[in-house]
Amino acid sequence: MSANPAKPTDFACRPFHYPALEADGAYFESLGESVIAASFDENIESECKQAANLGLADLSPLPRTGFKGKQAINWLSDTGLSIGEENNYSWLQTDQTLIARLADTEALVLSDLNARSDLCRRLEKQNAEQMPEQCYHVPRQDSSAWFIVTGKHADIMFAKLCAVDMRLSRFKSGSIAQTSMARMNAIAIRHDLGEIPAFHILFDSASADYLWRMLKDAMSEFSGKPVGYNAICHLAQ
Amino acid sequence: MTGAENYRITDRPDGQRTGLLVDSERKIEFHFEGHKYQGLAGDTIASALAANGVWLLGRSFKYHRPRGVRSMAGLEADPMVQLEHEPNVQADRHPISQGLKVYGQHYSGSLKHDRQSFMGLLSKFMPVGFYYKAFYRPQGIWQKFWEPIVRRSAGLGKVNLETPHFYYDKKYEFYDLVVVGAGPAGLAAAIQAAESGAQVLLVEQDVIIGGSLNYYRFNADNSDSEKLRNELVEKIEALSNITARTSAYCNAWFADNWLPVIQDNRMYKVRADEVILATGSMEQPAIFRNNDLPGVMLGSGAQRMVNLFGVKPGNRAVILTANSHGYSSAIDLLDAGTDVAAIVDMRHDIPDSDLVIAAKNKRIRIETGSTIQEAVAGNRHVSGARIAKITGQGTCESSSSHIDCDLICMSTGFTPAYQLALQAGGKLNYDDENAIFDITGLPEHLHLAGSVAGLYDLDAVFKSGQQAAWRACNNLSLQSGDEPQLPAHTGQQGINHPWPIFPHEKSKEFVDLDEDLHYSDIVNACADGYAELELVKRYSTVGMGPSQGRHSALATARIVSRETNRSVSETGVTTARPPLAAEKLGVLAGRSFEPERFTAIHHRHIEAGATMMNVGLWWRPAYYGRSEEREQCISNEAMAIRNNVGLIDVSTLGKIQIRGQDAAEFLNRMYTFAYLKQPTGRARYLLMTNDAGTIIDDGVAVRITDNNFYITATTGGVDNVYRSMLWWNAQWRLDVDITNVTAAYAGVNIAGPNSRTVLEKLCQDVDLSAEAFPGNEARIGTVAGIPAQLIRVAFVGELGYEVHVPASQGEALWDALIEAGEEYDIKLVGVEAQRNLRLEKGHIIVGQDTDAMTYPEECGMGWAVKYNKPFFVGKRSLEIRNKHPSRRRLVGFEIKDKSEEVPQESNIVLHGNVVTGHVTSVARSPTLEKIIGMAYARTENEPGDRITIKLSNGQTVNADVIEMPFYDPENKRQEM
Repeated sequence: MSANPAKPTDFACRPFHYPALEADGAYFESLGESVIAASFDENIESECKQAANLGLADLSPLPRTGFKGKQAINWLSDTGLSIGEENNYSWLQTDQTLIARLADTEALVLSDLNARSDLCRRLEKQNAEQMPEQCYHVPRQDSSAWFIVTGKHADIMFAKLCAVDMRLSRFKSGSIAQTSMARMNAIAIRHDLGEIPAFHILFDSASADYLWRMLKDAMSEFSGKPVGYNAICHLAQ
Repeated sequence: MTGAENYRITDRPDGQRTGLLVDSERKIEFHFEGHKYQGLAGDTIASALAANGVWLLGRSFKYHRPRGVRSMAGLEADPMVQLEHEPNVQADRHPISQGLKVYGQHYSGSLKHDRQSFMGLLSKFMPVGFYYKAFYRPQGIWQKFWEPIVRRSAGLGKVNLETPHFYYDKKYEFYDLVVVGAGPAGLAAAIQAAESGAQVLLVEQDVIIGGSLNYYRFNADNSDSEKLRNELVEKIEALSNITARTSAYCNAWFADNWLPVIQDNRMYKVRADEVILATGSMEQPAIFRNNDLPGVMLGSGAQRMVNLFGVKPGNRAVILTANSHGYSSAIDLLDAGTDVAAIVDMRHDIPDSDLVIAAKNKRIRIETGSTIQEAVAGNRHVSGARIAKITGQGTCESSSSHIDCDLICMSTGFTPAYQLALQAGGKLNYDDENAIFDITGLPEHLHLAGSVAGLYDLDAVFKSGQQAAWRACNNLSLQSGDEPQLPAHTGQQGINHPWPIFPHEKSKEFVDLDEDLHYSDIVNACADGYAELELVKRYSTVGMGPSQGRHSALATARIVSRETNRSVSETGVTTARPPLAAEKLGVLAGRSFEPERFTAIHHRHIEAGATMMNVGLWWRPAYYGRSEEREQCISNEAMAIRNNVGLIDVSTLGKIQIRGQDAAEFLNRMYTFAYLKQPTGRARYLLMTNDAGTIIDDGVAVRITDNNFYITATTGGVDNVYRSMLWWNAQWRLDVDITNVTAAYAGVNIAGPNSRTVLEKLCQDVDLSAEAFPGNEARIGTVAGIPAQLIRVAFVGELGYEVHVPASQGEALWDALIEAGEEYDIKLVGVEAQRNLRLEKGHIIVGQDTDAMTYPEECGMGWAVKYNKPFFVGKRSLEIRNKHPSRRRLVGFEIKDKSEEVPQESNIVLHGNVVTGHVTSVARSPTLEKIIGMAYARTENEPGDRITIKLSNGQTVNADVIEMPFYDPENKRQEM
């Protein structure tokens, strides 16, 4: 049971598919101005074990943002962020936020898993104030849902949904695939939680319920299950 | 031969185990044709029935002849049986299971006593292509008489429509190397490649790896194959970089080594850098009278029966052979307890080999230079063989000797399993002189190994696997050591008899058993002028049955070549196309990925009892209530907006942000209206045409700042609009960013005379008064504390506000508006009522009131086109189209008589007997208390005219053309 239980409907900002999470037995906790599915099991150790095997968690309430335009990468770099030259690759920043370079003209910013960094909010504010030319905010917080799939079976599970070769030996940590997953556009970013393989999945927020079902179905072959945010944070430490 | 006898081999004189695949300790009971039988775990349906002396499995396609198993490898159609939930199951491959219920197929009455077995007697009246010549006269008789008969007679098993849904899926896989076929060549290749470091997938259609090593006797004491098999299997199991899939089919080869591999209910979509085809070869039947009887088998089929399943395929056998394989079968049969009455060798001179010497030592009678002239039919089974001396190509002496037997085994030659190689572009060549095949012209990164490459000697087969693997690894930069070389002796010479075809004066010497085609059918097809193999195939249907010519292609090519005075190599083979084997529709479909999109408010609709409808991928509330109350619900919802206040979820509207210094110029080019001078804070109608000037979308553009537009598009059209925008700007290179933000924002339309009052309770930072916030304007503020964009739109023709908020807060906004509207009895309004309300206002819905030809002037939208702009997409076409008067236009109509049936959308509009258009929208208007609609009618039709609408029931109704909008023509309501 959660230490700080909260109800999604007590907040204006609600996880995209919270009724499905509730149906799966999620316990919610408040996180910033929203709530997050903190656990599905009373025992965090068993959830961590589950995540190490094959777990699926909803991270949609965590901050994220995006910027696009010809000057987007330059502008982000000028703010002090570390972004390499390679498209479809991601870089972890000192505050543990993740910058995913999707193209020469677009980047995605994912909050650290503990949501301690205020980078997303800061960048959005700065962009709105400065209105830099050819650098436009993309409302990723609401346009894209954010799941994380973890565990040793994650890569072979993805083979049931996605045509990209995501084998751990080929799809190294940091890699990005912008692809079709269960017939939906999705961005997959591999960033392991310590020793545990982990893939962040960003996709159409209106399809959160659908992809949650498709992932659970694909995972069942490998005994995969939903896990809570707390287990993900625990593994990330 | 009766069903009471037991054919299970209990011990063998050579001391070897009986039945590699079966577990004699585990008995399984199953049913065939309503009778209970016992088999062993590992048995197929065919082997288990054979063990019980049941050889009759089905009836033939045309003549209803009794048929049994021949290859025990799933290569022919005859062993197809019916299961409860699945027709056309290969009995020689499908395992038995406890309680399994199996039936024969394609018979009338009972399998043993098929009422239609007399059809064989009519064969002379049904020569090849007879249906082309018989069924077309007199005119019309085909549909009325023949087709029903043919349809009743055709087909094999029956589809059970009550079959439950089974789980199928697909999976993508990637390998350095895929080896298709796990016989000696495939195993050697996989091991060699894996030891060099390659990630290897080994695909084997049998339940275990080993291929011919599992059942074929390569030498007299059978030492070679068993020892080699054990060594290879052990190595395969030890190599972790080999994935072996058994009971799996590689069902096609597609470009760049894309391979669909089917195992159970899953299709693996495999990408391989390199592919080795070690698919082996298919033993070919000889052609003689009654060669289709149960009990006539391929030698390899008999050996599979004995060595894989521990079942002796008969008590007394005659072996017809033209190579050493017949001797191998004979020794196996003897060891299994079958009396081998004779080996009939078509060759005059038999080269001595280990196997031939062994047969002679076992005192088996050997008839050289002879053939089987006829299999003698007994009780639905072979009962003897008539043997005659061969006198020339395809001829033998008329006098013959009879040998009693219940089993005839044929080992007269092979064709390579060439299908995948030919799909990849390979060419099958045939050396007419030596009756040898080879395949050339393969693409890069595709290799052959083993008997598919024409190699039959075990050592050569093994080495060819290693050689192919070496070459594949070389391409992968993984090779080690020198390239393995093939030995001088390949076993290729003498493997095939050049002409194992012996026509009989009484016919019934079958070339194609699937289609019941005799030798004379192929000859007659040629005589009818069909000289090319592809034409012979289509005319005679040879090779078009379930086995796809695996056992008929070579014989057909030989016969056609002789009848057309060409060589077999000149005649060629028919095209090999995917799939290689039958595949289930479920496998092709896989898991049904049908994406769905839910608005942020979706669950509130469900809770409110909405009947949902899908619009593209979205689910929307059609109306709130049960289907039996549909009309009343829609009416009540519409009246709530006309008289009070209603709430509509419009989140599915497409939303696109256009930003950059050329944003206005971009919109000006993409849409027909003018946007350069659109003031900030104003909303303006959008109409999009394509290159041809056809209307393809509409929406609203809000200018937020000089360089920032927020636009809406139709729910179903936004993806196309977005794509189209990217496509055009890839050419124009305007300084603009285009972002599809449809999912990012939820939207609600609060509409009705009381909408302002309700909204004011939640929105304090925007002056909502008519003066401060008039129609076609937009504001940014907060509603219930949620950051929002408010747009005054009037789609439904009443005072109303679209409120757009971040999607994650859409449900909270909905909840707040309902709570605020409670005191006004706010009503939830679905799509259907919204559509009726806009119809009353005469607003079109793109895609419903327009079609693939509609241009603006045709549907009264000319006002939204600015021809004085230098350019917009479709302008040139519209200028041309406007010079050619249209023959139709969209008009409004009414039917005042309330008792009239409401026409349906797409009902046609008539002028006399001429169709002049169709109804696009129609409804019984609760506001106006009459039927109103829009329809395409003649351009001459003006208000006051009458049009005739033909209803779905065939009757007609007259409607009066009237001006649109039907409701509030002065727009006073929406400008309150």
